[in-house]
Amino acid sequence: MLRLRNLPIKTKLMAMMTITASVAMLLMAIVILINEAITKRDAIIAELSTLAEVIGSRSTGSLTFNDPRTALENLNALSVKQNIIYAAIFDEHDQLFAEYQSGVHTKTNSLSESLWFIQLLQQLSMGVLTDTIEVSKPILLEDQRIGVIRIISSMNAFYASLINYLGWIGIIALGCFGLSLVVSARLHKLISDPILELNQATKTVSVGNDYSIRIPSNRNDELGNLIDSFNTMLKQIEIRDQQLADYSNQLKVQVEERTGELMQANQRRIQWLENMARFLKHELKNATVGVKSSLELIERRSQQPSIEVYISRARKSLGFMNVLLDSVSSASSLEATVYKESLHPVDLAALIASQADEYRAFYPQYTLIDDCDSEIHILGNEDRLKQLLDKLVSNAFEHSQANTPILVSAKNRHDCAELTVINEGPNLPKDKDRIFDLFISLRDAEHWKSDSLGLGLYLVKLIAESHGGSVIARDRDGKNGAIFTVTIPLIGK
Amino acid sequence: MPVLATDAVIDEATMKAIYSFKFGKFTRWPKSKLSDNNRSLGFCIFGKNPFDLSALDAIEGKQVKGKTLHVELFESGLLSDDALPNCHIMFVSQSENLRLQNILTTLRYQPILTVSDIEGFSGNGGMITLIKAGDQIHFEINPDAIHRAGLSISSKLVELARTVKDIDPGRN
Repeated sequence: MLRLRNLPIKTKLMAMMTITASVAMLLMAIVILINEAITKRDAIIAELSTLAEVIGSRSTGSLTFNDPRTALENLNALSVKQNIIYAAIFDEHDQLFAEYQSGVHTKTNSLSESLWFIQLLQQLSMGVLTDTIEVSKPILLEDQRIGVIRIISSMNAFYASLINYLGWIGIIALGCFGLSLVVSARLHKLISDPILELNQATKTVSVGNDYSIRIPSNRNDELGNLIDSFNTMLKQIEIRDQQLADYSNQLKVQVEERTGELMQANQRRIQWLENMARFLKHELKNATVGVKSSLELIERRSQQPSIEVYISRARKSLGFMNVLLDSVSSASSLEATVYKESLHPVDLAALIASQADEYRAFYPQYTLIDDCDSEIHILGNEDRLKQLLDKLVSNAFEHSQANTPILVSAKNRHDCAELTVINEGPNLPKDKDRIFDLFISLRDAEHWKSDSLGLGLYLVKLIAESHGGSVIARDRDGKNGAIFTVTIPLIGK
Repeated sequence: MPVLATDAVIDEATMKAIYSFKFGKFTRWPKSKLSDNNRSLGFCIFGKNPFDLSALDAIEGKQVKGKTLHVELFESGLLSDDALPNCHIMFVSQSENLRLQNILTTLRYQPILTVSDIEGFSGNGGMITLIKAGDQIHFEINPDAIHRAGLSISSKLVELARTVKDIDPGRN
């Protein structure tokens, strides 16, 4: 069935028409054959009945006056009928009176013995068709039964006639089959041609995305409607495609415009930050110089010990202002340049190992454990990566509990390097997502010490993102402390 | 020439009686002879009755031409005009051999089927003669005599019999 389904529609249509015609012809042939068989059989029975009537009537004298020889002469007349193989007259007591047997039949085998078709026909007829047919008629004299005549005829001629008939039917059926094949070969085009055109058009459309194709149609039937609908659909798709292209172009222009605007705004923001930093640095520097010199004068000229306290406090504030100025300056300059810096292959593992040694040397009061894969190759700026590590480690030093180790690890993950810095100590504040934002001071957060400016973690985020990576912070699982994880793509990933 | 086998069980006389009545089945009488008023068909035995009782019983009451066979004996040797209309089959006994010509002359144009076992019966103007040959019975038919009497006999019977003609046609 599946193979039939995959046949071309042209073949299917031809097969449909040819098979329909053939089946119709076959049914007709069967009906005609059955009718012919019944008619012929009835004709044979009628003929045998007539013969039996005639010979029976002719033999009334023989039966009445016990003359079997004349009866036999009457029966012998049946020899002209070659299909009659046996005939007999029985008297009123059903005793055999005269008997005739054809010599022809004994020499000729029944056709059914040699032809399976006849055997099949006989089986299908359920006993109606047999090798022989027998007719018995009573012999009456003045309405009194004086005997019986029985005639048996061979059906060979009947079957031979049927076979002959079947042969003709076969020839005619073959002719009709051929004719239906020729006719269907032309007629199928009425249906298959538009479908094939439609198929070709859909292929062209699907391969070339050319929706401008139209199938010419001059039909008013269902196929014509289908083609019209297909053309309409193509037209609608074409219009929609055009609209989509227009929308896409508009969107592209809008995106470009917006991107430009954003870049300009960002540039303006960076510029503003730089300007502000430069202004603050310049102006506050001047101011602090003035304040500083004034404080020195006050210190020299005033001998009152109480003034020392205020002067010391003012100096401390001045120191903080300088730190603030440096931080703002470095942040603004980093943001302006970090994305423009070129990246080179860096072995993060080696970098961390080198830095860890330095941290241990400079900060012997802290315990630092480094745990890195042997090689971790990323594209990066070595100075910026060191800066990032400095910020994370100093953040960890700052928030670690006394006498607790700080763990720095770096691992090769699926497609990125994962740098983790873990310290024991207070948990992260509730709004921990904001700790990477610029100028966000978490000074007031409970148990959380800060660099007071919120710049260190902002720089970590900036450097990580400039390397195509990211940073997240979370509390230690079920323990106090914080985990900072930086991910940066590996080379080639 | 047909060869008729006699039934071993039935004696010759009975067989002749049966044959004589069965001839009636193959005979056509004029309509006037088979009037509807008369429901019986007369089987007349002229002369000394050669059939015993069992032979007569074998044919008495049989149906011929839709009528019941009735046996009548004319042993006196006299044929009255009143009796003739009731006779359809006339069996002439051997006892009438000497008077055969007179009898046949009387019956010549009567529509009565004449049957006898007298030798030469048919040749002398009788219609059917029964001839015993061994254990078989043959019969002769004189078609002229039959036609002359206005009767007709089925060809089925004729083909079984030997046909004979009048010995002395001039007499007719």
